[in-house]
Amino acid sequence: MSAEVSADISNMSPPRAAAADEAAQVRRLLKEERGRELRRRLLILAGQIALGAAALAAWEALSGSVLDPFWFSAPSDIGRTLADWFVSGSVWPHVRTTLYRMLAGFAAAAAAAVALGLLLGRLRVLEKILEPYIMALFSLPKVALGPLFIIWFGLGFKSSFMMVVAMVFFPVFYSVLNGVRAADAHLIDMARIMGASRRQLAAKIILPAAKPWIFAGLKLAVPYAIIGAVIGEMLGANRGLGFLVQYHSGQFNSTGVFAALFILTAIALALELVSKHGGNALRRLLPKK
Amino acid sequence: MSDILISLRSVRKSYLRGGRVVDALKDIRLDIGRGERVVFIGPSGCGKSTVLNLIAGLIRPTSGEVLYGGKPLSGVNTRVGYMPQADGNIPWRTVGEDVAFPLEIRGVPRPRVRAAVAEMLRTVGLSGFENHYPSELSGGMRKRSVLARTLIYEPECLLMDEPFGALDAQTKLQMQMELQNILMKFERRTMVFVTHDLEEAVTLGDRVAVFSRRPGTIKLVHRVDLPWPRDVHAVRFTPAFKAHYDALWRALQEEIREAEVSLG
Repeated sequence: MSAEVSADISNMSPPRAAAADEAAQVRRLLKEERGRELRRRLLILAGQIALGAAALAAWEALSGSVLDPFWFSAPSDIGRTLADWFVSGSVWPHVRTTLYRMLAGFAAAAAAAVALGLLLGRLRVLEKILEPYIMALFSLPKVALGPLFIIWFGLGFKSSFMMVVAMVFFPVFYSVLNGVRAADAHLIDMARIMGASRRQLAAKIILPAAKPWIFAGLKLAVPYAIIGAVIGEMLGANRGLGFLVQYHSGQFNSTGVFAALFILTAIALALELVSKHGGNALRRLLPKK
Repeated sequence: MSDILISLRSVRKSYLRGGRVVDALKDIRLDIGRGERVVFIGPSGCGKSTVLNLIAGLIRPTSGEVLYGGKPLSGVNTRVGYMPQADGNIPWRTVGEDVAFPLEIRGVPRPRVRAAVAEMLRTVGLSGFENHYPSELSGGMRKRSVLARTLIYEPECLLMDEPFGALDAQTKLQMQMELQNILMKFERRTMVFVTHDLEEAVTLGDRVAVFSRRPGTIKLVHRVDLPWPRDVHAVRFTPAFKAHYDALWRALQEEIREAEVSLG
């Protein structure tokens, strides 16, 4: 009612006034909805921070009474150690080394896995011949290869790099293979009828159809790269975060172990964020065809 | 009928199922003239679509011969256009890019592709939707875009596998009408159209081939001598249409009934 009255005052024709009124109301409703959404997100964030803080506080409080600090350390000690490491800069070579091994191994394994997956996805006979062997290698716990890598490649970059490759290759390879197989058979037939060559079929139908699978495989493999690097470094290296964990554990220095684990966790989270957002950005950058 | 484009000669297609021979098609004999529109109709699973796949060269007959342009087919037949039952859009391409696909494959220069796509989209009534993805379109519009892609490289023969089967009745009539209009523009375009819709068969065919139930054979070839162009709506109420419909219905009904008996 009041809307109609105000419409008369502003000299608008009633339908237009009603429309303006309705638009204003919808805008208000949408604003309220956005407010609710924002409050919900803030609540979640506050809850997440509170939970972490509470866990650290409990750890700190229990350390020294219920928990033996020799085995379990304490957040304050770990924080001091981390501060020392970063202020003195002594930890950077380890961080750099681990990141380098991880990224190099990831890139090499991903490239090989995508290429082989695309190839074998199209050559069914070859794929069938290789299948049991690839399956056997896939099933083999990669950690067990560590000593062999050390014999072959010595301590350091190469053996850790190979461990990353061994970990990353299979999840990517199987994703790509499934992606190629998932390409719609009808689309392939249609493209052939339209006169597409084998190369055009691969570039214009099969690769784009497999693209979501390839990205899913790459994303899936990021944590494997971290695992591979750390295992490689724990088994045989004199640098890197995996080495730090191993080294401090050998010294019965639980604070050092936890500090190294915190850095690894931070790297893993950062990479998860990068792969989540970076993957989308990369997808936008790549040409559609 | 001196100018025969497609010749099916005693074509048989069989499969092995658990060691047993199952015949999908048996003794298919049919000549299809250049420029002719032939509709295949029959109970589901009778192998009508299999015949299309044979003409497209996607599969080979177990015995007999499929001649296209007087020569036996070897490999995929790239002189036809194929419109499938399922949508058939390339999901990661926009309508414009999808329709351009056959020309792109042929290496047609970009400016010419752009002009041809714009023209073809106008023909099928999709102007202004170049940049939409198939997922953003209605079922009827997706069909139009596949039809545009099938026509744009001007194949001499269209193979249509129940292309309008999934559409609602109104959209279907609309598409039938537009298909006719388009075929008028592309003169002497041969078409083989598979459907299970008898009205569609009478509306679109010069001849209608009735398939028997599995193993599929052509049981009756019926000439529909209604004049072109046919008004897809009005033609259905003419006495001649009804006569054709009834003749085909009788032949089809026997097959459906027998199929049901043999199933029961």
